[in-house]
Amino acid sequence: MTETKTGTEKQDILTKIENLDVRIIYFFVIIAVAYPIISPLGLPIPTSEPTMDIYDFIENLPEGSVVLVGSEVGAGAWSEIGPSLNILMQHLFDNNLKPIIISSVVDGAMMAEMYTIPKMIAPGKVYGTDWVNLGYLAGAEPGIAAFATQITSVKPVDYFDTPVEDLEMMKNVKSAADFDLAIICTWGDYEYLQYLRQYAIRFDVPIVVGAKSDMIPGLHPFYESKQVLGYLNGLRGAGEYEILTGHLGYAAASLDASSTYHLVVFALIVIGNLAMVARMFTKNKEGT
Amino acid sequence: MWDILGNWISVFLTIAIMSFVIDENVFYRIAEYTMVGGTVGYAIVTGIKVVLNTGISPIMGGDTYMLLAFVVGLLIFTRYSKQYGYLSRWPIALMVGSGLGVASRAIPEVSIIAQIKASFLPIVGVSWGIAISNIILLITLISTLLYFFMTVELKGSLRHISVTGRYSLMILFGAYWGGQLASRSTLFIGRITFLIKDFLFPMLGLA
Repeated sequence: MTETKTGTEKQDILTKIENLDVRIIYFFVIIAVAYPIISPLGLPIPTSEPTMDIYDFIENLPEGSVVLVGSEVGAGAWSEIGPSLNILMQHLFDNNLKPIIISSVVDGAMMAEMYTIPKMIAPGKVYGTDWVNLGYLAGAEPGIAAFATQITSVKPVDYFDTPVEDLEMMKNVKSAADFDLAIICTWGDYEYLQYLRQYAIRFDVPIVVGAKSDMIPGLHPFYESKQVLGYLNGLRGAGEYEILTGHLGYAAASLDASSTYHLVVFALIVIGNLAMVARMFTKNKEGT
Repeated sequence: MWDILGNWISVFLTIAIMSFVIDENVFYRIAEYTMVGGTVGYAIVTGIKVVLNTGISPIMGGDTYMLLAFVVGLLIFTRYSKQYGYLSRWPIALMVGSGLGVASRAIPEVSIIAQIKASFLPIVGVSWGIAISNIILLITLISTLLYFFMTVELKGSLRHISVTGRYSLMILFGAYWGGQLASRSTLFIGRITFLIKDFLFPMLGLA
């Protein structure tokens, strides 16, 4: 109900809620995110089954197993997928497994080299012997298929322009048949499907996915059908994995902020919907 | 010194992007164009490096078959010519064809057969919770498939099943939206964490 008073309209509470300034919403969201970062709440983080399945599989891999790590994420989604990549790589190094980093995303290999590798290097790990970064793989799915058939056909040199044949670790790794696991940390549905088609079907390589939260409804059927061994659900999955491996870091620390953010958004959704329902009742009442 | 400078630039760009909340402004545009320009620039350099490593170097090393691939690839640039633009269709056709070819050999197994197999779930010999969950899955699967069945008009009970499929799709879209919310929140949390822990705390001596 509005009434004119000295040329201005006095808005009722429902109208104010419906027309709430977006800057007020951002203010509450910033407070909800910043407070747990400054003063952690320590909320419990239960571990989900897909995360546990990844952990168990990697724990049971023999030492020296070769793992393909697809850093299929660019700078735009690094906040969400980067922690998954970091903690999975950390687990590989802890268990003396040998990761091969590759990316069909232009800046994926660069992001892994700049933000993942510097944190992971354990004493005694040597590039070329304990891990390799093969850089950007052009050609999308045909490129990935050719890489799976013969690595040096599409990647003659690594990220640092060293011939692949000169790398100690790659002397016995010629194709996807030599991979014991493929970890695909990706920001889109298309990337992990490529690896499913070209690695899991053709070479029986087990696939594990580090995915964004909005990919989970589409990814979960592949987990249920056992085509994907397990997956990390964005930042939450990375936090769960950090707790499992004992390497608490950014992801575990950020989950409190994620929880409070979702609480604020949930409250705003409920308030908005209540206002809408109240408006409907008010209109019906005025109509009768 | 370069680390500190990089940090300040990151802070400026982060706050500039977030200033969009107030209104579109010149700082937001600077940050947006910087991101686009940097991404495109890096992609161009990476592309040139790939051509050099997988194309030029093998040709210089004696792999003459790569010369054919190189020439076919260069044909793409003929699209800028009105007279010879038709030649650009050949490399594009090769790319599309090879992509479809390598993908389609595994699509039936990955996206269809394995998913159909996974939908055969037990409803006896399992716990009540799992049995109910499997029945719900079966109902939503059949009703959603029927929703997209448009060969004949669905009437009576078939129409009701189709409506159930529509509601199932609504629940799915709700789940997708929830995931989108979580994804966007993570990106926002990343930036706020950077501003607080990598900028504000060190500046205040609280690091």
